[in-house]
Amino acid sequence: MSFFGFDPSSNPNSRSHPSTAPGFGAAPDHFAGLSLRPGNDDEDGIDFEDTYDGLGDGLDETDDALNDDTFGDGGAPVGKDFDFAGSTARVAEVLEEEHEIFERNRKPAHKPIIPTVGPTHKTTTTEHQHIPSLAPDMSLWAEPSVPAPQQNRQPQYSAPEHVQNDFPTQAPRAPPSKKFMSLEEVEAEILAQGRQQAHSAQQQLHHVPMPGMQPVQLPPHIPVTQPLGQFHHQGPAHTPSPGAHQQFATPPQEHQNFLMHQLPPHMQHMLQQNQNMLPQHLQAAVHERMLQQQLQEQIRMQPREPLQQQPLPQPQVQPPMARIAQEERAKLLEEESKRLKRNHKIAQLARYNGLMTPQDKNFIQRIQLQQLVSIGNTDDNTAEDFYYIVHSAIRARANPQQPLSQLAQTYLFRNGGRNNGRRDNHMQRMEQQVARAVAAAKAHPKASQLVLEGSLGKISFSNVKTPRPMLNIKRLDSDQKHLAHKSYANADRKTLLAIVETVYDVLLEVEVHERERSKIPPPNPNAPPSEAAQEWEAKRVELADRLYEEMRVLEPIDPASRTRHPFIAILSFGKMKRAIPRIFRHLNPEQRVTILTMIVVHLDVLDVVRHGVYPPGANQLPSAVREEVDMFANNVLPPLLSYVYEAPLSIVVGLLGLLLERVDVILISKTKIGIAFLTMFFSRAELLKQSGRSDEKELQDWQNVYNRFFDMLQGHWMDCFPPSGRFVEDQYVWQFLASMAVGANEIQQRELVGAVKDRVMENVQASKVLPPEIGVQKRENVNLFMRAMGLDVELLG
Amino acid sequence: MVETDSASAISEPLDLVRLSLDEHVFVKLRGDRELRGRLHAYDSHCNLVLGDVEETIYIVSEDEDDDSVQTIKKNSEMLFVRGDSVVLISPTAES
Repeated sequence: MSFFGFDPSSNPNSRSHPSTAPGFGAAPDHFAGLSLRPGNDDEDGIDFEDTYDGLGDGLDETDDALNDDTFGDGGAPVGKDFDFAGSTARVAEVLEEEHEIFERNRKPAHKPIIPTVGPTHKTTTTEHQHIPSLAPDMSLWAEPSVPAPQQNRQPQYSAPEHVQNDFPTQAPRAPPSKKFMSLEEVEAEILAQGRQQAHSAQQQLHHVPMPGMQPVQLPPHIPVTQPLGQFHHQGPAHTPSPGAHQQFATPPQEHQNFLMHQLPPHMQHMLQQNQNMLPQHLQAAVHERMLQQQLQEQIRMQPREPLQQQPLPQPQVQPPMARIAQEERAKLLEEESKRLKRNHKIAQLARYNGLMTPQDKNFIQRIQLQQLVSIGNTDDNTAEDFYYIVHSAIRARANPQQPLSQLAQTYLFRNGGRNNGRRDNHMQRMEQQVARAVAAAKAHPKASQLVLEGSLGKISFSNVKTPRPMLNIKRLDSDQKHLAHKSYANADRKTLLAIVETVYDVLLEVEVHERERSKIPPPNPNAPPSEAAQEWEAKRVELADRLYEEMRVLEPIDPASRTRHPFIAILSFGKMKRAIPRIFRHLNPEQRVTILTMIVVHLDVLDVVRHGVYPPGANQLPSAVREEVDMFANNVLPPLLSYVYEAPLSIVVGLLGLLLERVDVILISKTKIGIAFLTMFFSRAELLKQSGRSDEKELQDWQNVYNRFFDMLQGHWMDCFPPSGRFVEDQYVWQFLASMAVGANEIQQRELVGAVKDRVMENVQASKVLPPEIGVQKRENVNLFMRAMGLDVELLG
Repeated sequence: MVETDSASAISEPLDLVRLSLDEHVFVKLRGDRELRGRLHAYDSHCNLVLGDVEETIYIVSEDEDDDSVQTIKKNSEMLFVRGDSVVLISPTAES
């Protein structure tokens, strides 16, 4: 190089023959360096050929006089203050000029090589015309491992016209820009090497194509992100690079090639699917094409040296290589930035790694699952979540678009709107897991208590639905069975309330069960009921019986006892009255008639009857009593009424007989509820009598009962009325009187009219004074009674 | 004997409150307040819903010498009582 003894201050133009200067190789063999240059390609040789003017040969050994100009005064000691860059800069202009000239003399195909080389290098090239000196410099940039046989064999320098001819073929196969790697390329290479090492261990997981696969030769449409083309095609094109971690690298490429083609198509396809095999296979295809081209080339170039053909395949594939490499690099960068971003995200999240122990996670998971189970398990939940379920059912009915599975949607799929690719999959898996867990939890209901042997109580676990009771004394179930048979003679208020609550519990259970009927497929009228239907029916009957039993209807009646029957006692509570219509629905006719009988027998001790009697002097009942009476009339009476209106005459007569025997009829006739019962029975009996379908015996019985009643009430008709007043509500009395009058004979009718005549007149008078609506109502009420006897208020004038 | 009878429906303290559902109850609250009304609903926190409520507030005068207690009565058709102020729930003798 020019470092030794080179005087940068002197005019470069004056220096004419550096080759013979001391410190340089004395031999003027300018081409010796070419053969020594390893891994180099044609450009360098061509450079030399183009630029060498042969001056050096002539000047050699003769012009030593100018050595001092070139190398400075030989006597002066050489300093150590080298400033090559500065010196070069000083001559930069001249260098540029020279460079321009040099460029003009060259073929355009070789232009790029000069910019890629440093300026110092250019200086030497132009100034010294000494190509061999370039060799070590070039080797810095070129790949040292592979020799370029072409360089050694081609005698291009000796035949300029040959060179001219040859270049067109050579130029396209070797884009000079690829020869020397730019900084980016070097970086990419180093990066890739690092990555290659990192990934080689887990290649199969990540499906990263292996660097050794020479993917440069892939057609551009194959989405392989291998960017390392320029690195690898330095080696022989079809040999896997030694650094590659190939599983199939052992067979030589040619052999593999052969194998690939021997395989049936589907096997080839399978191999292609193998990420590891893919590049090789493609390479094989390319290689085949290359071989064909080589053959053609061979034929074409036959007259020339056959050796020249050997490297041909490689350069021919290079232009696509360059392009693909470019694309791949872009792809690599993109990929790389993506990867970095993801890693960054993961790293950020990783800050929270390990905060929760597996136990913590388990714990939370269990809580969540438990809630899901309790929510999803609507069977057990109906009673608890009754209002929500009913509400949603009503809403679903009102809005048919809304499916009935709304409950599930509301609870489980609150954020069902979010579904994109991977999350979707994730969610699905979650849902499946949850479904499994719910099923498992249902199958094995979690024990909320643990009874240790020998301990006095139970250890209970808390859960979401039931907070942990601190102590739970073990009690045998048999106690409860025993309870049912206890006497309620002296049951206090608290006990009665407890009974009511029990009744409600069972009632809710029955209702839940009733709702489950919808889950059973509708019965086929031809086929016998399914097993599920039978089971359901059995359970229903069992529950209904329990409900009936809990009402204590069947407690023995003790006429001597002064305490109320428990059923009558609990019926005094408003909540029990309200429950009656709900309960009645689940009872069979026999149970219903028993309840009716029970009420009838205790009619005079019924709270609404006992308290329903107007105290003397009072115009009104206390508000609490009125409330109870209304509640009884609105809740208990209708189901009883609906039963009585279908009851046969025998039952009606029987019930009336019981009333006569056991009940203070005079008392009940003074109350609204008592009269309501009487009206109910009498009108039903009258209807049955008029229908004419009853047999003679029953009719006779009925007539007897009627007469006894009439006689008993004789003299008390006026007591049936509430205290007189203009606005008093006495319609029910007129209805009763009407039902009595219908069945009465003439004498009885006359007695009846005579007894209530005053009241009739009073009402008729009042109706004339009162506002029209109320007045008309009053007249109608009276008329109801009058018409029953074939009379009319109008007759009274 | 009666005690064991009623125990069938009672397994925890709040079950006693359940017995008073739909019944007239007396409720004592923090801040010198009392309620009388029909118990419509309750929960495990003793949150209550009462109907036809009569609320009584006792105000002891600030004056040192004057020990007289002033009472204010209010009536509400329906009242929600937050459980954390409930001191006592008792069934009243007779509604």
